[in-house]
Amino acid sequence: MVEWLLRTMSADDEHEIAAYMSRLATASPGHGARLPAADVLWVKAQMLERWEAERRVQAPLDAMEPFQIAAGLVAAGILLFWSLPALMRVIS
Amino acid sequence: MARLDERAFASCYQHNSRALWSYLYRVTGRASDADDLVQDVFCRLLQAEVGALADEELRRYVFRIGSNLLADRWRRATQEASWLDRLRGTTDAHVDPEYDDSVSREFAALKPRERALLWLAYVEGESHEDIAKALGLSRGSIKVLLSRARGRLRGLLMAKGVTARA
Repeated sequence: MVEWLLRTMSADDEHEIAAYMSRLATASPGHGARLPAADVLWVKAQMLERWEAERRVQAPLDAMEPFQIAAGLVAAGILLFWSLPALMRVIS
Repeated sequence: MARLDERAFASCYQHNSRALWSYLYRVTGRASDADDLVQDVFCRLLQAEVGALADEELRRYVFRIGSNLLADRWRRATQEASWLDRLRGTTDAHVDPEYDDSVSREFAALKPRERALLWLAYVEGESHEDIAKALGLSRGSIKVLLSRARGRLRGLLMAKGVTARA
């Protein structure tokens, strides 16, 4: 199939496709581009980069957060266990 | 290699943003997607160490980032479409109504990768090697894929009775 296409693609066909593509490139789309100014995009890119850097720094802290909570709960449990006899004495 | 400074970035943006937008719009068929992608491309460009590249190399680099983002989008769309297929039995091939005008109707009927190939080859005038780099394909496959895309476009133009010289 591909070889057949290669053989049958004449210079006229090639010219027609090139002309069609040229017309397509110059045809303006109905609504056009809505692009920001270069300086706006520059600021946006700087901000994105800063947020990305902050996210990279913050990532290990976020990853450790469940372990912090677990360690806190374990410590609270141990404290409660140790202080339970004294607490019972106070209550009784 | 250094990054682009603000002045070099503004110059690059001024020279390439419209051409890039046209490429992305013609391939995606959606102006809002093209708007978003152009911004993504230039934000990524600022993180790349391309300060020493000449204007032409920079233009190719910008189109390469754009093509990579398009490829990512196609991959995501394919995955989402397969889920939608399972849920609804159909997919949404959504393009702007304005896209399907008298000039671009035949182009719109091509597959996105064919549209990208033809645009880069004919409008941007890129070599097979540069197209291969931009689309993440092997250099050897470009000639075959381009011929196939040309053949499909020629078939569509003939079927609709559209001749470029008319």
